[in-house]
Amino acid sequence: MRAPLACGAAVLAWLCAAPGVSAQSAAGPGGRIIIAVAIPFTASSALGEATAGLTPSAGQPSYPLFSAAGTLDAHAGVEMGLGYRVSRSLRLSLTAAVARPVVGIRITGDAEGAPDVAFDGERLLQWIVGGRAEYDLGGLRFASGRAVPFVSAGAGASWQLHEGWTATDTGWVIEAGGGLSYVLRSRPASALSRVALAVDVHLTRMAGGVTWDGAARTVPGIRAGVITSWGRAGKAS
Amino acid sequence: MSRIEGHSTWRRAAALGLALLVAGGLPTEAYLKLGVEAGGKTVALRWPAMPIRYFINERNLPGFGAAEYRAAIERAASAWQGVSTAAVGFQLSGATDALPTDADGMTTVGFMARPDLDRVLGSTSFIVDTVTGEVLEAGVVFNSAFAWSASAGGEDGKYDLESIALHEFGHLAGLGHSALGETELRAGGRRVIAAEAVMFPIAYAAGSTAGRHPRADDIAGMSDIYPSPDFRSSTGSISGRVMKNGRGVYGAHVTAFNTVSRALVAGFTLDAQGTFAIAGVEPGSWIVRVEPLDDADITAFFPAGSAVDVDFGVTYLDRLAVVPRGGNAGPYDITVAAR
Repeated sequence: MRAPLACGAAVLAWLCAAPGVSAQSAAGPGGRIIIAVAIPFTASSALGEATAGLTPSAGQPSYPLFSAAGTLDAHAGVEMGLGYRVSRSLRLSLTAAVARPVVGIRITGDAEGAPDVAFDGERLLQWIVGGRAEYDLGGLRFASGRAVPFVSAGAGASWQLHEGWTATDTGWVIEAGGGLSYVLRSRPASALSRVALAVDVHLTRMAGGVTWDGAARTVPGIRAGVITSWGRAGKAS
Repeated sequence: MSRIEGHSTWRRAAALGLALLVAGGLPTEAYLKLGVEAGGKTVALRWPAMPIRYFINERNLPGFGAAEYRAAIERAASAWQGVSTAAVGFQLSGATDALPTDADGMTTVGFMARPDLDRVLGSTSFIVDTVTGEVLEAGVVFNSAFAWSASAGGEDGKYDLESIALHEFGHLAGLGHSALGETELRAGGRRVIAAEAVMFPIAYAAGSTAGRHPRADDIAGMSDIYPSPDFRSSTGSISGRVMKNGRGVYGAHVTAFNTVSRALVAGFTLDAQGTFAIAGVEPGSWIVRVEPLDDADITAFFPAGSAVDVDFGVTYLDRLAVVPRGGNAGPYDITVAAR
């Protein structure tokens, strides 16, 4: 994750050093083609619990040899987006995100008294490919029009490759959230017509993928990135 | 020819002469299997053709009729035949007056009164060609000195014939014992608290019918001996070494637990290097646990005099074993410490 972060920091430094823009231009929608890069951070989520049970003689409850709990530990990733500004307020994007989350394991209750243990079970290679819609709440602009709140919703498919990349679990994700974009640069007449920072918080509902119990889970996350608009800005519908 | 005998289902742990066990070290030979010295080497006992044809002796039935007896035996055979990943079959060829212990070219199942074997519910023996290793015949004996039930629903206070027959038919096909069980010592022997393999050497208490269905460990073992065409390609294996003080541990019991299906499959370290391989496991993530062989007599698994190390504590592999389809997870080193 270090290289993309460093790259993002360099871009931001360049953007912040750019000449200031007027509030009028900052409020403009920018070009129709959108290229974005972001760092999503996803909170830890439970994968489920499992008890290694032995079958007892009749009439007895299952005998636990040990119990285990799995978590998909909190993780950061990198997300790329390619979008299109449909209207002054609405953007649609195709996104691809990659991360390397760790499956954490905790073992308790060993039948023969072994101490509880916790360890990193494996590191997954996770891809999520999907689409997202973002809608600017133009009426809530502030900071001279540079800051624009927005809401977003998206969906996608996930591929989680196990360590060694010999097995894959697939699933689906949907997400909804909202955030704030802040225009750093707006030059409607140039090819790179607008550059903005964006931060959002969201809830992701994940179904399938790596799970011990098959249950879907809802995970909070935060994402920060840069949105660039390309093409000369015209009148938005 | 030689007769190999003594594989038994024990009511309580007891030393009894066991058939020679062979335990291969290859990933495809992870389970304890019955074996025989043939042509100067040890080979796994395996029937050359399916189905395994057997006769039943209907004498000395302890309190139930021939029809009920046959039905229980056939239910046990059907349970093994229902394992989709194993190409094993049994065929009842008829009744006979011959005893299971007769050397007559027939494989016979029957009851015999053996009050002297007060801890043995059943046993399976073989006559094999010591040159080729081919099984010539076998015999399955149930000890009528105990109270038995052949009822489909089981009966309180009586040992369940179907369960014990399932165990003995596992031996009949060539399976050795599994150590997937927990016991407690009581006056006179061990009592099973719970088990997750019908091939565990100690039977459930009288009245229990819990041992009527092959479990994941049994299925993996049987499929390993008689694999269906796609068994090898659809399953994988876990391999590694168990080490203590820089040296391999012999006879450690290694259990793998699937975090999704909850299946438990186990094997042993089978050489002085402490290597193990658990084959026939479904693809996915497995937790691996190592424990000393302390829930049954060691001679239920290894030949008498084997230097099985039981002086170490339960230890877990500090990562998940991710088993690929048709491949192997590992090799992993698991270091245990003396207790």
